[in-house]
Amino acid sequence: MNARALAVADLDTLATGPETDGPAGIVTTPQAATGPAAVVPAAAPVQPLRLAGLWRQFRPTVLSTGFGLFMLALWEFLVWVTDYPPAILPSPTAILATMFAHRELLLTNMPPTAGVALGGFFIATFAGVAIAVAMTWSKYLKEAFYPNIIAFQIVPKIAWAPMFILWLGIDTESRLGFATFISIFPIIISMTTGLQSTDRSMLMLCRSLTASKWQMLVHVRFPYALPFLFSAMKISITLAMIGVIVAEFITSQRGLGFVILTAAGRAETDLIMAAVLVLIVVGLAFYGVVAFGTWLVDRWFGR
Amino acid sequence: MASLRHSESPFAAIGALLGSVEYRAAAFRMVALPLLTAAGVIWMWDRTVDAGLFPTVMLPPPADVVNMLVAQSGFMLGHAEKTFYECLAGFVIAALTGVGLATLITVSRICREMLYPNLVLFQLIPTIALGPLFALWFGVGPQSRLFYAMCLALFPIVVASSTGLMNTSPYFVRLCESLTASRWQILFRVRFPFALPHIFTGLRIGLTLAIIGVVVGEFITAQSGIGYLISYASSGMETATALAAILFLLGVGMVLFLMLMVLELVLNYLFSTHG
Repeated sequence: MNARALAVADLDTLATGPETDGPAGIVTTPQAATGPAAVVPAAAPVQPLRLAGLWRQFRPTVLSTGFGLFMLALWEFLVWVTDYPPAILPSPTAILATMFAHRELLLTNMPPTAGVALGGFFIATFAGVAIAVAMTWSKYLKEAFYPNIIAFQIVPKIAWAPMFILWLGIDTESRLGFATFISIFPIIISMTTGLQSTDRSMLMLCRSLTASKWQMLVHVRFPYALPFLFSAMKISITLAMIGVIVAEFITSQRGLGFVILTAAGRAETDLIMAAVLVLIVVGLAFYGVVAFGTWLVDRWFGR
Repeated sequence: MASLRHSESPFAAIGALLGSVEYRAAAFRMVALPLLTAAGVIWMWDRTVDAGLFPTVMLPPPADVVNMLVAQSGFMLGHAEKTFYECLAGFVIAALTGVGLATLITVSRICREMLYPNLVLFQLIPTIALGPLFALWFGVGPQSRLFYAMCLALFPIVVASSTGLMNTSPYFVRLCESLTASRWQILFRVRFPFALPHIFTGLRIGLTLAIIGVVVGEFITAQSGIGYLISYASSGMETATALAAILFLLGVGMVLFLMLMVLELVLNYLFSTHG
């Protein structure tokens, strides 16, 4: 066991040493790539130059941000040199300028989009968890509805957007309804999987200790399902945003989707991109809140 | 001898299994319960409409939807065909570009360090919001929807494929390296077969997104296609037509997914026998 671990460590050193140019083993993030490469020189008997070590450590960061900035600069430069019509491709600085110039328009149209997305997301989360709990509660309920829910998922859900407008009118209700509809499925599916994947022996132990069905649900199944719920919530909040934007494309008098559509009608590409930038900020903020919630709950229930 | 006879033909085994009472009960529950539930929901829908709880404009009886589906099938097939080809073209371009980029990211460390974080960052952009921009750039023709669909489908394909290609068991890669396999040999003989499940996960997500892209593109600007039909019919309060069109879209999606499944089976077969 020990010898094998040593051999593995040896292999790791061989494969991810500074000279290997090939892919470094199991790498999913650039941060992970720096790990072994940064450790190996320190362990080697001869200490390499400090500068080289620093470069190796920060190379992925420098290269990626450098490449991103280079592309932005190239974009700016090309627009500046070729004198492209701004209606087709505005430069990054022009987009920022438009964002500043139209800040009032963007800020007044941001709350309708963000609020409806958030509302739909909350309704979807609570309703989705309730449905998942019901399906965990009764085996027959699950066997009756779960395959139908999965089958219903096959239809691209985005196609239902005009139906919601037909059913709920052109006001906020239809957008809220559609955002809820589109973001509820991941919650139902993940939460049901999570509630059902609880450790069997844990459940049996609780049953032998005369725990009630409800107690087992709240104290055992639910904590087990939380990671599933949070990963679904991350997907769900993105989908809620998509739902609101698409519904705003179809019929709306306000919201960032409406701004984008009208700007496209007037060939104001810079305004489209500025609105998309605002959407990115909103999306990141929502995602951050969900990630923060994940972290909080993780600490509560103690890993 | 008895066990040998049992395994003589698979049909006999299935017959024996079907004969068991527990199996029958379980199979009945697994198959019949969902079907009965679906039938029950449709029956309730029919009764609700019959009772006049909702105006027929909002909720047509199920029979109307089926009648519309049959009566307009030729007309809808024409629209479905356009949607189908746009989805297919956008998806194929996205798949080729995506797997190509993932290969580049895997083969070259510099490319990986330059591109990968930026690609992950790019995923944060709500690409769906760019729909009108594509209409502005490429006009109202099929090109705009094709590129929009490609743009939506590209990122999940790149991220999933590169994850798969980079996560190949390092021991196989090292073994092949020590057997003096070239980088390309390792790529095609080791990494690709190992990454196939990841690549196809990415492709399935990409295909869903490509369909979404084409449909949203058709909502925004189109004179034909299933998305156009849905939004046109629903704005004209022809709910039965819209629902029938949604069913047609389901058909388009299923054909596309079936094609992807066949491709996966073929590639799995090729890599498992000659890889």
